[in-house]
Amino acid sequence: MVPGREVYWNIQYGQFLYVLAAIVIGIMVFAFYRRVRLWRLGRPENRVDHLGKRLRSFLVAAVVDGLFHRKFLEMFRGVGHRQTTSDDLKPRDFYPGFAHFLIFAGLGMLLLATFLDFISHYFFHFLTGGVYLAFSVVVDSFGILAIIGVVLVIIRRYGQRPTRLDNRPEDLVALVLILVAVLTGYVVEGFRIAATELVRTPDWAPWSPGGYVLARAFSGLNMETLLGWHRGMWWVHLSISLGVVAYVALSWNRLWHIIVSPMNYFFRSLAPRGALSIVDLDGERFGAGRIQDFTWKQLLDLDACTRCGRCQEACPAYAAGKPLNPKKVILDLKDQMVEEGKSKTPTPVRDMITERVGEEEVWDCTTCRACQEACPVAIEHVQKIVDMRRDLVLMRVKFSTELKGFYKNIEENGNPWAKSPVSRGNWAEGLGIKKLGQDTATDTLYWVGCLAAYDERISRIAIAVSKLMKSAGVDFAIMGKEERCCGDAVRRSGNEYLFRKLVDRNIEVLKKNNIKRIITHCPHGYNAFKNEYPKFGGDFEVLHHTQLIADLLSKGALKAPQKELDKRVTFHDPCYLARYHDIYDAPRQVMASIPKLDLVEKFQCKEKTFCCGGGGARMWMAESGGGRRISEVLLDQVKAVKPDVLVTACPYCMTMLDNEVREKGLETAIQVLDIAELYRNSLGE
Amino acid sequence: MNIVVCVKEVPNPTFPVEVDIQKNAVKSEEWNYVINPYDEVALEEAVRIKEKFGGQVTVITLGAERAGAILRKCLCIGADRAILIPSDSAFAWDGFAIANVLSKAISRLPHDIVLCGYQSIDRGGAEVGSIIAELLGLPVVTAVVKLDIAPDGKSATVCRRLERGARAVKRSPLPALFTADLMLNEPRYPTLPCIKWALKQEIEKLDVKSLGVEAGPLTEFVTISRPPPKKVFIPTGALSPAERIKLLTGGGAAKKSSSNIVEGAPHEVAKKVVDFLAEKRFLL
Repeated sequence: MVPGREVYWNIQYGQFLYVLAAIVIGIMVFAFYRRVRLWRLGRPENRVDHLGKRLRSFLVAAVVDGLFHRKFLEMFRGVGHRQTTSDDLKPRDFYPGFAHFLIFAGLGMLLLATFLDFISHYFFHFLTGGVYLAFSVVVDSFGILAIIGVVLVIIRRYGQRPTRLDNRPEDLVALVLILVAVLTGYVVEGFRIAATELVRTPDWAPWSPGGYVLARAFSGLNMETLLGWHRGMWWVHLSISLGVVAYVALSWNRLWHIIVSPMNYFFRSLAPRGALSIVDLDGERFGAGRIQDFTWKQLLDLDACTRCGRCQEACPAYAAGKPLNPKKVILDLKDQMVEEGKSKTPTPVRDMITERVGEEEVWDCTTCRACQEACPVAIEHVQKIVDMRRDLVLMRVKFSTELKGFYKNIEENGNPWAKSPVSRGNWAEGLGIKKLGQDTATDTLYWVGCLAAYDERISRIAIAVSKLMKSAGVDFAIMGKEERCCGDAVRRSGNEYLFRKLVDRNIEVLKKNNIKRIITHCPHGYNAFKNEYPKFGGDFEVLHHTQLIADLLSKGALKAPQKELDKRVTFHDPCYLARYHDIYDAPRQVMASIPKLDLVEKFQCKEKTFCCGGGGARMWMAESGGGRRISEVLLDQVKAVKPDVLVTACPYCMTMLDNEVREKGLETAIQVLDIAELYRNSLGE
Repeated sequence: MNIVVCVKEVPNPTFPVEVDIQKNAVKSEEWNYVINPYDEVALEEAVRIKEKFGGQVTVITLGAERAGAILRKCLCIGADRAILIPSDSAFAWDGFAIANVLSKAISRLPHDIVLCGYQSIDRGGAEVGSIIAELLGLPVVTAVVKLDIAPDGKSATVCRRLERGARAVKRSPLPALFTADLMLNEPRYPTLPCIKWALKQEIEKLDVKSLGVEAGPLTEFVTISRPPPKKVFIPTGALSPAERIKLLTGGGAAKKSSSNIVEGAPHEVAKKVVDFLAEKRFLL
């Protein structure tokens, strides 16, 4: 006799299974259709562009993230569709990743086994002899792994109880359902083995380890009983498994993430990370004040969420004890979507922003993008928050007094301060810096930005940058009083109209002066010119000063620093440099060129950097919602590595950190410097 | 309730200002005009009354062609109609000449309430409102910090600002003219739909001659003397960023003399404040 699988052994009317399966598939399709209708509450949006690219990156992610869980592929770092970024291959928490991998691999293997069985039975008889035994042992072991995975997850969820997880009944239901479905399968197998293999071919039995153990337990019962139990348990297992699927489908259990999360990844945004969506100013509604104002993809995001809480753990506002919790924002919006889907009235049952998400939450966001970096299923939190701000600003005019002054100053003076644009170039007086239009015909512009133009501390960065550019022979000019706000903070605070006025005006002036290249020391301006201005017709080559200094140093155009620093230095990666543009090597190259500089990395650095709290126009808003200052939490991380010098490369980070260092009375212990200042100080001049 | 609001464009106060003594005018090459903040408050009040009682808000200005821009802004905030009386010389006129033209224009418009700013921030004459009222024969209350219209729309109870924090409450029949103090309200930021609506509106123009006014000032400009230079406090890096931001967003205000500032431990400060209030007879 040859080992092989006898389908429907001991079972009568087994083919009835196909009828039941068809019904269950019908139920799934129905449940999915109901959900599609919910997503279609949203506005249209094209997310099927670049199909080739989408498909390719989807398949890579499916293999790297899905099949193997990137945690185990740490060694293949750099494999994938976007080699230059760390976005898709980065270490995640081991425990939940491992447990998920066990469940995923186990259930995946069981599903695959059923499918192969089906092929082998009806089409191509290959599961026989040694192949079958090997097949059997693999499948059986993977099922056991799934059980171990479920147990690990239960321990994590109900034993360890990490704060980022909120336990709802559906979680326990999902886990128990998986457990019951798999275990009943083993029981059926156990009865079968006890009735057949143990009696006739005991050598084969251990090849199904899970069933074998149970079979040994059941052996000794008489054959009648075994056959009866086998038949009974077969139907029980079948109905439970199909019942699980039907229940999961209809109750829209979290297990739907198996389908929706990959879908969401497929439709993910391919736009540059720092580019926000464009508001149609000719439309009727601006931003998102109701669930219908979001796009279908933004609503799909809500269902893709598995409530894993990685965003919550990554959010600096949450860490500082502010009301904002990115995970809760997504879940609140999901509740809103479901409620609006059921509601028959044209007006929302509950106002989405004020009564569901919360205004404070919407304003707490620094747009640092830590949540999106952490999200395993490509949910786009920042865009949603900005959309809600747009509604508050453009439709309802509900925002803080500080922001009102901020907008008014920018409208009337072209900068957030109540300072005249005429004095914008005053910092550069006596430095011999060329001004556009007056005495120069260069195509390289040094964009100084509002902070450096008026704030004495920040203008020292501009002075350092322009001095080093001059010494390297870079031909550049500044705009002086022609320069206006670049609009980054304006846009992120939701005032798209003012932003567009600024963009149109700036592009016009830049084009009139034939500017081809923009150098800036501000990552926010860098992002605006690189990712936002092109959408409005302003294409420029954009360089951040960290890139410029690193480049000039490597070319030898800049003198290598001579003076030994002999200090502990830590670098704070600005969000808009590291997380948005993957620029974290350039500043480190600059620091490496300084003799005896002892670089110590903070706990959260590079793409995991912890926001200073100043982005997304937060710098101009008062602290709100209790908790600590975000910069306070960041300074704790800085203090932990005991640096003498804290280096950064962003005027916002500089302002927030400088303030925090003074607030804590540490200004003599920790010197806060921009990378350009650090370089200039090390020249030994 | 039909309301007419008189507004004026003034030079942006954050710009460096130089006065041309010969021409009796402000000079600068780079220019940026804003709506007089007092007038903006008057307009906001008018819009709030309109929202409560219905009716129409008309803004009217006497000035250069470019003042159409501030009228547009008034439409954004909520005015229904905007009238520009173009004049290239009005900036040098005295209060009477301006009020004379405006009162003629207002007399042609339906008005239950006329609202003006208490003063303009460029000249600060604080007289145009009162003269308009006189010329139109309307009751006037100046420096209004609170304005309540009776439910029947026949009278108004107003609170006006006096010196040193004192207040007076007055009642006036309507129609009447009120001049708004900055404390009356906080002008709104316009919504985008309002801005879009305002961009499509037409600014009506009214010719000075068609009003049948013998336009011209009653007084003659002789000379202006330069005020003593004000010491402007410039924030430096020695201040903490939070303080610098405060100063920069507030325009880098001149530092106050310290004579009225009490310092010390909280209980000492409290005692000094109480003593001060008692001395000034604010406490009984």
